[in-house]
Amino acid sequence: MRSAFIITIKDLKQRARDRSALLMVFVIPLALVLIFSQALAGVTGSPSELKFVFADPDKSEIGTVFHDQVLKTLEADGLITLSLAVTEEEASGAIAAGDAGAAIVIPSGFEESIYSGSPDAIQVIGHADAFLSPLVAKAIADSFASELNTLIISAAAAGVDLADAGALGRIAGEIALTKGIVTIDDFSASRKELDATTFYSAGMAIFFVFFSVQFGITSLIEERNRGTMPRLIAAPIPTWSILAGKVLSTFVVGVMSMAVLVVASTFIVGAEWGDLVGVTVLVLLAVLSAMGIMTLVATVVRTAEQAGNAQAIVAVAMGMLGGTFFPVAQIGGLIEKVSLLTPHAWFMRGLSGLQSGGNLGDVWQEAAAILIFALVTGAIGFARARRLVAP
Amino acid sequence: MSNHISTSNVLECSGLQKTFNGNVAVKDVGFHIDAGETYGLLGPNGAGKTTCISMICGILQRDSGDITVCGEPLDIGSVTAKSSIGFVPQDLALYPDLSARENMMFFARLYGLSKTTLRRRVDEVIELVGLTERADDQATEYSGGMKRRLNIGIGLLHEPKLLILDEPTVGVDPQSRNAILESIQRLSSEGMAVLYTTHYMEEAQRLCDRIGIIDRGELRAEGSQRELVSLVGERDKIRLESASGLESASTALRGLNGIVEAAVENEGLSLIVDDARSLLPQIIAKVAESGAVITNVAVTEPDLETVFLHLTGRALRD
Repeated sequence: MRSAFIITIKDLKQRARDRSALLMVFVIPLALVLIFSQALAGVTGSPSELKFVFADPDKSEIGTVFHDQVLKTLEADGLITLSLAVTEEEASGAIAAGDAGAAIVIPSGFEESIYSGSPDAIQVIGHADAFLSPLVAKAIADSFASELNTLIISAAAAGVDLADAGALGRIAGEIALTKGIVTIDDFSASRKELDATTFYSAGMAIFFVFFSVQFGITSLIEERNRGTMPRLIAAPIPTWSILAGKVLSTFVVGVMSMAVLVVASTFIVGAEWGDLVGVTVLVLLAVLSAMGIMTLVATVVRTAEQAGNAQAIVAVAMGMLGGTFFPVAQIGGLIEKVSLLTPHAWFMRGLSGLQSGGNLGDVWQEAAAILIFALVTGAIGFARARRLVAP
Repeated sequence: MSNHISTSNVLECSGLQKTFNGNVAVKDVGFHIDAGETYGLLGPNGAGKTTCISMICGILQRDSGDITVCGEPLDIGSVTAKSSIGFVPQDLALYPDLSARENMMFFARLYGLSKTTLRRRVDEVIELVGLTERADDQATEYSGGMKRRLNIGIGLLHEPKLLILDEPTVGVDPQSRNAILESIQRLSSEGMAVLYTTHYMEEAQRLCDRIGIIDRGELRAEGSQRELVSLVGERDKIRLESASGLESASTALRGLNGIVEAAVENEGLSLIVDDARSLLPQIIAKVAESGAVITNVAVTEPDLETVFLHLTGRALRD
């Protein structure tokens, strides 16, 4: 093991002199965290930051039920913050002023349009910089409208005259009682997201750790190209210690890269990572999974240059897909499912669980998923990498 | 090939064989080197020299054969045997972003030098290879000759009993080359066994106590320079130079009585003949008939070049 440590120290010394590596490992991730957390803070947010303004220029019974029994219920549960506007213009003004992320407007003539058989749509107005609020507002409005439609059709089929006083009100009241209309409950439970600052800190940490660890395996290829590998193999050391030295130095750089970002983002931009033990485990596993994936990618190509290119493509693609730049979990559907094919998505999920008060026991599934990535790709990758140190 | 067994043998190898994709790179090669002896493997590029020493250094798995270094069997994982070897590869094997001192410290640690001897030994070798002034500069800033010297120095750090140098003077300026050869002579005189591969006849003649002539993976002959030259007998070497027509001249001369070997290389035609004085007029006439215009003629005593030509039918630098 002594020889492995000697190789590790030599590699770390070389990394410390590589300015481009230092930029990639420490400077750029931190700079991006600062930029993203300042400039794009409104793009995402926790449910408690969902601020809606509601306007009902139609002054209809349906609007009243929607406000009283749907939106107020969400507010009472602490899921949204609600304010009222009289007109659509006033609601737009509140959004423009940044007082709300989205507005839900029951347009004038909405109830009349239902009687006529071609109902108007409930309007949702979003803030240009807000991403989450308009999506949630639209989901709530769509759910309400969909249930309304279903009940109107059912009522019509049952011979109920919609023009009867109170008929629409009763239908709307039934909608409010319909289970599942308020999808924000689901969002809160399983699609919870980190706050903007922590989200980008975590995203950049795991995105750039893939670049931080890529040098490890490519340095093996470089040792061969540079001619130093024969000299290492000729030395009186076990050949496995060469690979062990590389693995160790890569792991150290990866952990340092993420640790610096965790600490710096905590103190500089106020990121809240949650339970320390849980964060530590997730970080270590993330580094291992990055090492496994980058090693596997590098062993399917021939040269260090090809390896670097292939690793960069995979790192960027997985980072995008895994939701390190935008919260794919909130998009839902196929993208969310596909994102789970990356350790990034599990890492972000795990951190969300920790930030919302959980501990390692609460995120063991996420940790296990990342560990599986590390074990599977690492086993194949390092088995293939052994040929690089074979005589 | 060699059955020599001696207690002073530093290196003993026999029956070395290596095949790459069905092509035999080294076939039944064996020789030994005693302490204080410099053994040269002389052969053209692609003869199998590097493959041989790669097997001897334990960086290439051999198909068959035995190697012992200082009595210890050598294989890929043989830590004890490897610790007696100092290896200087043909290509520069350095970390350009580390200084000479850092490169040496790293390899010295890998060879297990203790903390107390590490710095002293590194300083000694830095001085030996003439890098004291620039020892703390990054190797990337060194000239080609300095890098070569550092490359050699790394192989000397642990005071190996066997120093293996694979064409260490390729691409080196004459001054550095001379310094390298002098260093090797000094190390050998201090008792180090040296295995030296080269395709430069002059280096082999200057350095080596014994020489193995290798071609197409086979050790064709070995012995001291005198012993090897005696294989050619009382023959002479003639070298003819011409700008063109040498191939047809070579073909024509092969039919002439008294011509033992004829090979074209480097705008010249090398001949081994029984008696240069009596044959020279006929040779010149034959060459003129073949259309070649002779620009220079040299008659020399047999040397290693002649031996190689005699043994392989090819010039050393073909």
